[in-house]
Amino acid sequence: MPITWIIFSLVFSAMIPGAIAKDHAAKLFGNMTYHVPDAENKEITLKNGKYVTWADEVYLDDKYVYDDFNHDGLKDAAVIIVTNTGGGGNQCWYVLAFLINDGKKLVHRASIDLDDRAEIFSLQAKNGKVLVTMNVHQEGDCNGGPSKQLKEWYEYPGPNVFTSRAGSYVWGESLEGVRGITDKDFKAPCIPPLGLNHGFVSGVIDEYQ
Amino acid sequence: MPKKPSDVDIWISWETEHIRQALENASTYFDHKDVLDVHTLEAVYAKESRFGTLLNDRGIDGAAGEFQLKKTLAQQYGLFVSKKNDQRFDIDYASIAAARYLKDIDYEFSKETILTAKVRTVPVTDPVEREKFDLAAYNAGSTPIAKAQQLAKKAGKNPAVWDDVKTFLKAAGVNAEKVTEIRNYVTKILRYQNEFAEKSSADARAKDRKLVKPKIQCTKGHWITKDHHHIFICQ
Repeated sequence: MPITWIIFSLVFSAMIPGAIAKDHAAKLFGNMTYHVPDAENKEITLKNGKYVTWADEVYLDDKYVYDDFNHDGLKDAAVIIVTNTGGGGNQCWYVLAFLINDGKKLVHRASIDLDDRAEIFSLQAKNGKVLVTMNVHQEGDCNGGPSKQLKEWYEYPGPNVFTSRAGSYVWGESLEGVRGITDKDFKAPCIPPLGLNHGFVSGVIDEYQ
Repeated sequence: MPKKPSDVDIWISWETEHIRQALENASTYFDHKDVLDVHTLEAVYAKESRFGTLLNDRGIDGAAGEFQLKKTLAQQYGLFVSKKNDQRFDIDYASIAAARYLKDIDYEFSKETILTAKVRTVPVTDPVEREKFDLAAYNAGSTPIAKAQQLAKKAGKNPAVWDDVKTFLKAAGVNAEKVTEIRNYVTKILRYQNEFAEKSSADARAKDRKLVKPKIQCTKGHWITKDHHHIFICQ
C-alpha cells in the first residue's frame, strides 16, 4: 500500500473520529439483542446499530468500555443505547447497558436508564465499575438542554436488573462549582446565548448518518 | 422592588416577529374542535428547547431541533432530515410538523383509535381534558397513554380524565422516572400556556387563518446561527 495512502487514511481518520467510533461500536455491539422493557417487543435485535419500527426506535451510541463487571474473570462490556418507545413522542432515554460474557459471547444482562436526552460525554471503566461523565436534567432545564454536569460510577446491578439512575450509582458528584473541571471533561452544556458554536453546523451530526 | 421576570416573561422577550409568525402560521393546523392554539405551541417550544436557545449536540436519529422531534417523526411530517440539511432546526418547518403531530394526537384521542393489535385509545370528548392527553403523548408516545387509559377503565376510573389515567402509567409499563417526566410535562406546559395566553402578543385566533407555506424550499445549502437560531441558507 503506498505510504501516501496510509498517511491520507490516518489524516482522514483523525478528521472523523466520531464516525469511526460509531462504526466501530456498531461492528462490535450493533447486531446484538437488547432487553428494552418499555418496547413493544421487549427483546429487540439491532441491525448495524439500529432498530426502527413504527412503535420503537433503539440506537447504539458510539461509547463503550470493557471490564470484568460481574467479577467472574471474563471480559464484559458496557455500552450506551438510546431508546424511544411508545409509538411516537420525543423521549429518548440514554441507557447504560451491561453486556456480560457468558464464556462464548456477550449477552445483554442489565441496564440503567440514565436520563431522557442525557448528554453522554464519556465512559471509563476501572475495578469493574463504569464512570459516566454526562449532563442530565435539573429543574428549569428544557428537554433539549440538560445542564447538570455529573460524573457517576455505576456497577453491574446483577442479572436481569433493568433499573434507572436514581439510586443506582455507586458514587457520584455534581460538578457544579467544582474547580478544575476543564473543557476536556465537558463540552459547554448548552449553546451560549449567541449560539455561535453549535455542533450541528460544524458537522458533528455527520457521525450519526 | 421590581418583580423578578418569570420564565415566560423571558421567553416572550426572545420571541422575534419571525418566531411569532411561524408559530401563528403553524397553529392554523388546529381548529375549533380542540383547545390547542399558538400559545400551546409557544409553551411546547419553550419546554422543548427554550425558544431554540438550548439545542445541544445530539445524534441525528434522536430528538432534535426546535421542537425536539425525532428523525422518523419529522420525516413522517414532511421535513427534510439529512446530515446536510435538517429542517427540524428551521422554526418555520419544525413548528408546522409539531402542530400537525399535536393535532394528529388530538384526533387519536378524540375518538377510539386502534394503535396496536391490543391497544386503542378511549375517546376524550372534552377538548380541555383531551389536551392533557395530547401533551402526554407528545412527550411519551400515544401507546403508553392509551394503555394507561385501558387500565384506568378496568379499575373503574374514568379513562377520559387525565388525573385518573396518570396514576396508571406505571402499571402500563412506564418506569418511575418516565412517569414523573410525563406528569410534569403536562402540568408545566399547561401552566406556561396559560401565562403565554395572558402575556404574549401572539394571536390565538391565528388558527382561523389559512396556512402560509414556508417560502424557502431547498435541500442544498449551509447552516448559520443568527439571533440565537439556526437558519439554513439555500445555495
